[in-house]
Amino acid sequence: MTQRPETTDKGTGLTIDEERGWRHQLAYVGRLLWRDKSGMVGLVLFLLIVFSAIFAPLVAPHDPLEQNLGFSKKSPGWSFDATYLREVLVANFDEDQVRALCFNLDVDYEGLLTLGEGPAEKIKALVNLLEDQGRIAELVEIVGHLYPELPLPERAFFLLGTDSLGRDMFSRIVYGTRVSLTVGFFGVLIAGSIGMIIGLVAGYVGGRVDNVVMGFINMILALPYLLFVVVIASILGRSLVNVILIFGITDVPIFARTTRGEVLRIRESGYVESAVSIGAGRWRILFDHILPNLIGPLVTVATFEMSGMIFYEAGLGFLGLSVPPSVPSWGNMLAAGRKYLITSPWIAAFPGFAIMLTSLAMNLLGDWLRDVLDPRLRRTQR
Amino acid sequence: MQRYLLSRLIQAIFILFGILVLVFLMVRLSGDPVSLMVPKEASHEAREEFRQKMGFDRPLPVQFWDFMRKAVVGDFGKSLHFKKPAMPMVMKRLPATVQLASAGLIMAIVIAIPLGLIGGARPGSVWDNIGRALGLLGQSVPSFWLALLMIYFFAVKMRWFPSFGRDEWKSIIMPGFVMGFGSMGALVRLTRSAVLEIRGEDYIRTAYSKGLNPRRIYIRHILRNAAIPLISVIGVAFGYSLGGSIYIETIFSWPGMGQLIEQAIGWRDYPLIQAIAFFTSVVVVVLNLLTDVAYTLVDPRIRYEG
Repeated sequence: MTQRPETTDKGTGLTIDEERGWRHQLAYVGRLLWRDKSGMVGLVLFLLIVFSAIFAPLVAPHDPLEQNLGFSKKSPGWSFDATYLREVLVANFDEDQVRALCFNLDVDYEGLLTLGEGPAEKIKALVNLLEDQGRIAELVEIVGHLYPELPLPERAFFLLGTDSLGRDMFSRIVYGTRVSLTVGFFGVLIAGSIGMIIGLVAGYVGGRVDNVVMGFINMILALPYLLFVVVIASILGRSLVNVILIFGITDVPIFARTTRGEVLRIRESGYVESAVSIGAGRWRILFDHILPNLIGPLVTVATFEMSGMIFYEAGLGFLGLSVPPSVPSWGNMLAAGRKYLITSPWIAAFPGFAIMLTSLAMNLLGDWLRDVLDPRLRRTQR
Repeated sequence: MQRYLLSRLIQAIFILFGILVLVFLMVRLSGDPVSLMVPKEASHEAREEFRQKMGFDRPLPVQFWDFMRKAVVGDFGKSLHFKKPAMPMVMKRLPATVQLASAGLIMAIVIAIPLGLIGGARPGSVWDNIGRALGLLGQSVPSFWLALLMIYFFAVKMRWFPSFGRDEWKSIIMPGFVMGFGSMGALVRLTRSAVLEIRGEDYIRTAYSKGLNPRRIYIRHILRNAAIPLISVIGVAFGYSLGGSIYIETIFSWPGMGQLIEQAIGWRDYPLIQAIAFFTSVVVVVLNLLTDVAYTLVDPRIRYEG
């Protein structure tokens, strides 16, 4: 085997393989990733998110659509079915027993606010009060202690609590990754393919075509983006396909501009000049030199744009303009949680945290990709 | 320089023309503007009456010409909800939004630029790490979520600030901060990288080799030059805030343009929406133009080229 020249980079301290096989390239990229801890964090988080989107039925402990009003607005952790508990108490307790229960729970029986008369009303008020105070578990314990013959209500575990309809927040967030990633992936796929073709034509053909295309692109980029996305979404109506189309089309200029810029830069570069001088044709230059060099910058832009689309999709959902309300998406969940912000803050807090985490992961990943995939930066690193 | 500015002005006019076309086409995206603006339960007669009243029964080129002719003088027709001319209503909402965006921008500048300057001068220091974290969070924290969290902690729990309205000076603190948060992140990143880049320039090395006082170099050479790219970011950030105001004004009940557009969408009041969309675009395009002018005035490298 021939000897491979090896150099050590001063900046990163990495040993660089000069052999340009893809396996070595991959190993090199892997080592770079290992060195850059924030990129690593981004990649791991992103893979986890993709994993939970694909295997949502396995990851989610509950059915994301299953409603149970007995478990409405439960805080994170173990919970009891309050409706069932209430029914059992109403069916079995008389006034004295309710008084005794109140005494044990340190609750003022007379002070319970009721709509009507009788122990049944008092029990409802008591259960509601304890629910607000998060003391249902205490009630179950005392009832179980005083009246061991009564059937105990069902107990369930909700990692991130439940929403107003008693649906498991964690499962809904897990299923929500599907909506977010679908929008991000297909949006970028559409915008990226159209934008790349437009950018290639503008940059490679040049002249008047380039002027017209760039003029149009500059116009779109001058718009208040968010406002137009919101208005167009309101016109087209709530559906996954519409949201994907909106992002897929409004994001074309970003990809077109990046592609055009890169094409112009590559066209002027020394290696294309030398390829032309040895008689390479237009198509050969396009396929051998321009296209391979476009991959890096476009993948980087795609990462950032996907992150942006996930972000904006949630924003549309928050305004009630994204996927239909029945679909568990992060924006829809946040909008629903806004109503219960004061009493049950977790309903709004966790979906927002999921959006932040996803966006953070993709931005870290994008920053790292920009450093690694951009051949210019990489050369200076070497 | 004058030629450059003139060409930018012409470009801006072309962009505004293009935006008008877009605003015209926008309401026709779903096929029929009548079904967009009239409630679903309306009778066939009511629909046709509305179609005639709004002129949607005429041929498209006639509609287009009529729309453009009126739009260039700021006439976007009457708001369907208020039954009053749309444009003056939008203008009336401008001061509140500008106030909010300015408050956000001031907070962003006051917090972000010092962090960026310190971070660029001392990469890896504690302040640099704080600045970089802020830079990252500014990009990834959704404003509507931040707004809800702030309301929960600072209005509901701590009772420091009111959770909505525009009644006292305290009212602007939370919505202003949320508005500025995204720009804050961008500003930290940019200031930091500008300082880092300028530190590597030849003229800085020359200044050091001349034996100049490092503090003097930092203030006279680095700070001055780092200010140039910041102008453009601040201009862009202001325009960006106008879009973000949809969420923030809705959540905090701030009576600006963002709140108006959210309400107008609920009312299907598309003449009003068209007026808002165009007016906001004008503000953004004019801001971009002003940014370019400011840039030219500040940076001699551009000033002498054109």
